[in-house]
Amino acid sequence: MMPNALINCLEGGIPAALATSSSNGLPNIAPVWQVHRVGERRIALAHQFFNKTSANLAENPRATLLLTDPDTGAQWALSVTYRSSEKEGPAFRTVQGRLASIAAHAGMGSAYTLASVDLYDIDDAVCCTAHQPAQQETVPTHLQAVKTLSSQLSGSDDLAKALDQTLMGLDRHFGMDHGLILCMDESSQWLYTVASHGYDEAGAGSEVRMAEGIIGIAAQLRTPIRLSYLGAARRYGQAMRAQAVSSGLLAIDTEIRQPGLPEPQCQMAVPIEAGDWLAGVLYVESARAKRYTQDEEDALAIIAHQLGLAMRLLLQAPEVLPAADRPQAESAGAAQQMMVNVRYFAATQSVFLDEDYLIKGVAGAILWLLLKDYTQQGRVDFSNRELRLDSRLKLPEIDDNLETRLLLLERRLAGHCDWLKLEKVARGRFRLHVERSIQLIDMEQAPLRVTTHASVAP
Amino acid sequence: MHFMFAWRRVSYPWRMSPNLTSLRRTELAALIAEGMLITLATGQSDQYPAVARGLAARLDETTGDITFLLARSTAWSLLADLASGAALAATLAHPRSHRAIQLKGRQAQETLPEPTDTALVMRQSENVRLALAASGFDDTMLSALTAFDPDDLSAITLTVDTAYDQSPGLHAGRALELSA
Repeated sequence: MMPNALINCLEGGIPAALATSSSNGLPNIAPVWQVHRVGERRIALAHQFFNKTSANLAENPRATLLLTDPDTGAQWALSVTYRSSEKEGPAFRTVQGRLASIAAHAGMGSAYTLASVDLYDIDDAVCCTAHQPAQQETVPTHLQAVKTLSSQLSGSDDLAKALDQTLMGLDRHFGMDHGLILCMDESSQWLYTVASHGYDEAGAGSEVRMAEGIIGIAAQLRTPIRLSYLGAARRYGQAMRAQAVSSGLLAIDTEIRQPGLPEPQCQMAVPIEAGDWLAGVLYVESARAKRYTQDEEDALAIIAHQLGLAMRLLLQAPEVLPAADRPQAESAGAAQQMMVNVRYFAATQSVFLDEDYLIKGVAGAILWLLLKDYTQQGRVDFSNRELRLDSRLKLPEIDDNLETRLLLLERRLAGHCDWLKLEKVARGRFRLHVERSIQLIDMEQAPLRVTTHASVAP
Repeated sequence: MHFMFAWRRVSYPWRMSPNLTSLRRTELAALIAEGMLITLATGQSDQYPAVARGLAARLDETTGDITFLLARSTAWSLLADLASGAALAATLAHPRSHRAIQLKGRQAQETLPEPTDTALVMRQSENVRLALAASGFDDTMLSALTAFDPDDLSAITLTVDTAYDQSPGLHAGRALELSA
């Protein structure tokens, strides 16, 4: 069985060194940033810039890997034998995900490709440090915390609660105090934030492109990614980028933007899945290096699966109230204040309140539709079902993400507007509250009309 | 909620050309003085290579020979290989920028450390420690990584036959010309 101290060496931080030798005894040393444990006696190394190493291994498959424990500074020499290379599979995806995320931190994620991972058998492992390593702390397992959080999720009857419970539970039981949940856009090109925890701003609606940064790469490869030493990883990524730029292979492009801490030292992104369905990504980060362990990555993956199943069930849950008894908007009254121009750009489905951008995409189209029905028919109560069937929205028949869009819209309004809000009144039903006079302006047509309606009092 | 990662271009001490990169001895000596992560390996035609970590290095700017300082107790196999005439490879990686070079030669032997080598190891180790501390490693680990016993110090002097640029990227492995 692989010793814990050796497993700790695979956390990265200080690059490993792979020594090989040609048949005429001339050695070569290659730096290895990612060493991935495949089994008790097998590891996978990223095959990067390894021409000489490959040539040597063809002549002599025996190699030595020098590893450094990032906690104790202890050095381990592994005698390994090269077995094969893989261009797909779980080990390939994990290593590809980590390296692409590191490269993305230097703004070259899209330029990064991994040729293959090389698999090696571990024949022997010797601790060769001159100084006695410090005693390893006993690392607690997280089964109890997973059980508690899993139980809460299985009992959740509301999507917003399930998302918030997950992030708060991760803070309470795991000490993961900065987290985001992002959902997949129906185009599968973007992820948008629907829940956050631990930040000054809620960030609802902030977006990450598919395959961009650790979040987008975890979604694209559908594999958990954990980066433990981002300070060191960033410098490695910068060195890769500097080489690519100096060689003319990469233009200096727009630096990556993603939600979160300004200087995270440790990140984890785990896909939220239910079967083949990718719901989104669960992301946590810390300002402390190596804050998260392999055990915590495994725990987060289990929780993300539980969350995926819960989301699947909650998104399919039936409505609980009949469609009757619709309150209508009040006539102009005491709540009227300054009129607000609500402007809509159909091309991007973007909604602006006066000059301030509010939201775009499907959530923007939903809000525009609700406000039109409100001004034209005085309606304030709506159901998910009718929106889903409304031909004006043109939602896809499968995986329309309507509930997550409504949640996003609700949170975006809550964070940016004190006179317009969505209130969930029952499963699958919600109410629109408007406390200002509004004028709807379709920017591609003439202004619709002016209304002086105020908020509803059911 | 958004932040922009500030990429800062790291200075690159050696000159680039399409086919060959060159590095002057004075430039290499300056790089070494900043403190490098050093790995040493000896070759065996059909066995596992022996490896050891170097603690520091010094360059003879007249001859171009480079001397590595290491803990003897961690390098018995490597020193035994050298005694039997094995070839040596050494990588020197800058811990801040990840710029790296690899040096190889068939003439390498254990030599006696000089009286000033203990101070040299302390100085370069401290530079490495500071560079790694900036990457988030804690003091306990860094103290263990850079600790050494002066009585355990050994030296290996290498006559460099070939040198290679080993910085991360597509040009890793490109030949490097060491010039006077």
